[in-house]
Amino acid sequence: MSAGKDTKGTVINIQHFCYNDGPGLRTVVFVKGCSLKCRWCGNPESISPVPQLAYEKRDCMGCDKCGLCLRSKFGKDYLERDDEGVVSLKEGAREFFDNESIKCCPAGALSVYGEEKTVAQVISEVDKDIPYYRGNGGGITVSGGEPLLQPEFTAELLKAAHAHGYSTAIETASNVPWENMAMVLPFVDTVLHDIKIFDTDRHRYFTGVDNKRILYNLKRAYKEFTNKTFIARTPIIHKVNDDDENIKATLDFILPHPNVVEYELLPYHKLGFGKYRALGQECPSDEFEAPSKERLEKLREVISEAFAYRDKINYLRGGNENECEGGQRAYKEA
Amino acid sequence: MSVKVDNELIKKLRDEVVGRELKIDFQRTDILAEVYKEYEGYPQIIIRARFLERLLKEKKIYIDDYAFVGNLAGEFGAFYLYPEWKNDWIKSEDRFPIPEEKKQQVNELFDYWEKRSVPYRSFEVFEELYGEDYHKYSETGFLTSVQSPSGVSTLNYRRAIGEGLESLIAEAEKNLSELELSAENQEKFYFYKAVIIELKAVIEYAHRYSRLVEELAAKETDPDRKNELLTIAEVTKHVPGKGARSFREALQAHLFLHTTAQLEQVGCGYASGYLGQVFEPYYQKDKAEGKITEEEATYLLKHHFLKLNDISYYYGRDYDIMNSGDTAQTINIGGLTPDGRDATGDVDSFILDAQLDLRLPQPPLALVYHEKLKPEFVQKAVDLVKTGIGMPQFMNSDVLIERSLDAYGRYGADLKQARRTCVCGCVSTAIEGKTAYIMGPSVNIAKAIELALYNGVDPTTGIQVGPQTGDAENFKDYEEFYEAFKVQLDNGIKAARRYEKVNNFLFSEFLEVPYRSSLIEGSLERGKSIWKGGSLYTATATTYNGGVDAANALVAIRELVYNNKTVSIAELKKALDADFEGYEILQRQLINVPKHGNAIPEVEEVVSRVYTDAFDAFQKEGNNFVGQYGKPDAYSKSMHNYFGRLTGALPTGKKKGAALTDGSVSAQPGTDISGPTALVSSAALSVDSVAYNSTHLNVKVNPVTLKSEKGSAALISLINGFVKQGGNHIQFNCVDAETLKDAKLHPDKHRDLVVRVAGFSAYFTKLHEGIQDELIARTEHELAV
Repeated sequence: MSAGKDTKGTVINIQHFCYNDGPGLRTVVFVKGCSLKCRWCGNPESISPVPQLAYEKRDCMGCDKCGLCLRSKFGKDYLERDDEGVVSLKEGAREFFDNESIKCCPAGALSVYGEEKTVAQVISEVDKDIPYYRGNGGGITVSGGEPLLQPEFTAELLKAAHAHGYSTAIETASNVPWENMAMVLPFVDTVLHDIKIFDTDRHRYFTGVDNKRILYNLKRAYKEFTNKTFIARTPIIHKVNDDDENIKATLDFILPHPNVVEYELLPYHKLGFGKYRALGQECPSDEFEAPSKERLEKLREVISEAFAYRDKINYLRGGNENECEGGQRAYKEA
Repeated sequence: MSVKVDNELIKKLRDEVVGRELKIDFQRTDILAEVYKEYEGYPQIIIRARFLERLLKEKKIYIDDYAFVGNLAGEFGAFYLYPEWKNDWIKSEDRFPIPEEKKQQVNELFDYWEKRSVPYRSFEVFEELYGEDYHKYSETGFLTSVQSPSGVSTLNYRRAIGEGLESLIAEAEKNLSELELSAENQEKFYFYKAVIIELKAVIEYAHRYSRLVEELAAKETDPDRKNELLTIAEVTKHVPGKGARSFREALQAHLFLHTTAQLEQVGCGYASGYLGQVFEPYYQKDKAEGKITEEEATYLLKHHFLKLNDISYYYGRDYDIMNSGDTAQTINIGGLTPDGRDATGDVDSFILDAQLDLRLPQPPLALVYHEKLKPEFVQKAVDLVKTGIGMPQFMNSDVLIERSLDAYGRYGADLKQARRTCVCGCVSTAIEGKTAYIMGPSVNIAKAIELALYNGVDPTTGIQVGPQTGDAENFKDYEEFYEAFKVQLDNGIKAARRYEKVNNFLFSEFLEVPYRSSLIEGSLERGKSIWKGGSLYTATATTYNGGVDAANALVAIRELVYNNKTVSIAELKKALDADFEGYEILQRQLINVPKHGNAIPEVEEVVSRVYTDAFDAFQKEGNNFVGQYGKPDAYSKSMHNYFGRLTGALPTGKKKGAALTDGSVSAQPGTDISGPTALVSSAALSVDSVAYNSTHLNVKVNPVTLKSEKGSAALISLINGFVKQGGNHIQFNCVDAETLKDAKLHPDKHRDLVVRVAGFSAYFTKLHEGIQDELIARTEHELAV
């Protein structure tokens, strides 16, 4: 077992007091690396699997007051003072930074996204939240990035979490080899999974990959892990995936599976855009926006009616182990 | 006796209270001068009684649109002066200038009291007894000097409202008649006399209202109003002399009893215990008889609360900075019955409803929290938190009970009594109706850091405050530094405890409070005022501030000076002297050292060590003035601001004059960067909240967090987690748009501000400017809903 707890993963951060990422109060572990590249992505630091240098010029104290980084080993080669008297990065800085030199920045203008951590290290941080899980079914959620791209780490972490008595959840886009999923799911109680766009071509256009593997994985997971709870989610963006057809196709896909208990729409936001600047990357265009409040409400209504209808049919049929047709008909009749 | 619910009237009265301009009412000082002349040579307790009697007889009374009568001063929005309690401010006063024609009289009166008052005499007596000048502690901001006029204690309203004052008078008269005249009984004799004079005067005071209202009713042509006036006349004829018969009478009785205590002495902390539960049987009876509805009861409570908001006092600017004019007329809700069941009644729920509507500073609500509370009641409390008024505060019932057993079990308190422990004041706790408080000064623990660094000298004033603990530059290691800190702290706490006793010695010499004493259990039986140990239990209110600042400074010194050797003590002192001008890097490094509030064991054990040592130092000075076991309190009120102004730059990164950390286990602003669960755990685990008489955590929450159902559930989980870990007092400040705006301008001050939207959370200051603006706009919008 101790070998398991030494398994390492690349973690962006651990966030406490979360309540929208699974049942009860949750501690969310964000891991690094994603196999999608969504055009609207709000978490650019989660895409690359390796640690990345971040520089927030706004926070630099200025070379006259500080200048500590310029005197570091790394700074001598890769940092310089610019015309405004603050630090700027030279060629190669983002490839060759070293952690120790970055730590000297007292203002936090220079920092690193991502750090290698063992399961034991992460779980000891999660343990601090024990008093807050009791009575509400709370626990740990591994999110990302894509937790299934580090399957050994995620599986060991969730195994350890179960051993400590916490409920477990993952947030996944499911674009991974089936083996990865099969390795992790036995230790997951709640699977929060995205279905970003149902149409394959559109999916490819907006996320860089098609969704065939995603849908295959999900369908198989629904069928093979009947005792798990699945929650489907769509980051909802105006004119990308907020059309009736997309929502209905997604409902069609999930409703036959009674272990998919919820379908959530998460309105798009731009809160992560500052991070692009820190990473030296270009911000995604401004073309994306959340649907109007009315539109969102309308879609949520369609979803809740469809689920209610499915549950009713299911109930009348005495409940079905794995599939139910009621759901498929739900919105058609509604 | 039906009540006509008029929400327009509530709105109007609320606007008046919120918009009122304070002004001085001189009648109390006029009578004070008169009575002290007239009764010169009488025992002071009798003079005090005659004074209250005269005041109640002659004070200007008036009738307005309220369902209840009785105000503290003679005019709406006015406050009386209390020169006998605190007189060191009037001459330099500019906020409330004394009109020319009053100047001479007021100055004479303040001069008279200067020689006879506690603040003046306390310095003299302190020096006489202990051979040192207390000014060095007060002028450097190590300790406070002012005696704090305060009402911290809860009166036995259950009895006074239920049986009426006539019952208390009868008891006093009986005890007096059985008293054998002897030297030993002399004081008792005067005590009973004083109590009888005062309680009779209170009944007569109510009758003055009754007569006035009858006169008005006779002239009134509007039948509704006439009816209302006749109801008031009927009520005031009956209470508080006789036991209340209805919900309305109980509320009116409370207002009379409560304001009278504040005619004797006004200040912060006239809490009313589990007042809703005192009112509960009257409500249930009226309801059963079909005389009142929920809506009517809530409506009457609103009238009652609005009147509490007009109670004001003023003791000069310094005192105002320390207390922000707070009257802390706390009402406790929830809690347990003596036999351990959930004590929450319907009226507790109406109290929440009334504040949900009024959203006024008074009365603060303290929810004594335990697992037997009904979920819907807790939810309603959370709804109130969402309004952003910071109420209710959540108090851990288990801790309160254990604490009272620890403090008062040795004097006979049993579990049944301990289950009626309540907040009395704003943070401190005591057994309802049975505990009196005697005041002590406040201690600025962070000052001991400065003194350890500067060999006992206060760096701002140059005054040698503490012993010479050596040149800090020569300390070999952290432990040596800590030892110097501890010596300085011990010395300050010793002086504080001594000053506390001097204060109480002088209170009992000059300023007896027979009325208040008679309403706290024990005094009538023992024939003694609370200053002399009359009440069953006597707590000591010597409060600690700046504990977290001291601990954070110690950790920073340990890490940067002794462990990492980033900076020497000499260099650090230069930076502090310069208030970090030119030492910005060091300031940032000091701020970056891990701080309290992030659940880091190596940090929290320092906080814990500071509080434990401060506790032990307190106990070294023995029991309080009346001979009972005391416990220190750890809370700040606005004292962290007062002390902060008198404290230089600190190794925590705090600038000279900036406020210290609020509460006692809250985080230094901007340094709890690990989320609310880490803060709450740190707070719960870093101080022994049973040993202490109070500890206090403030948590900032973005209103967005609380908006959803899941957000409410999360907040409840947070409270449960705090309580399970033995936390004492947790309170939530919703962060409003103003704060967000400030955070945008001064990100350094708000590094811990987490904003949450749809499952995504971020540190506000790390967000892009445009997004910050968006969130500001959004928050404003959501608060307005």
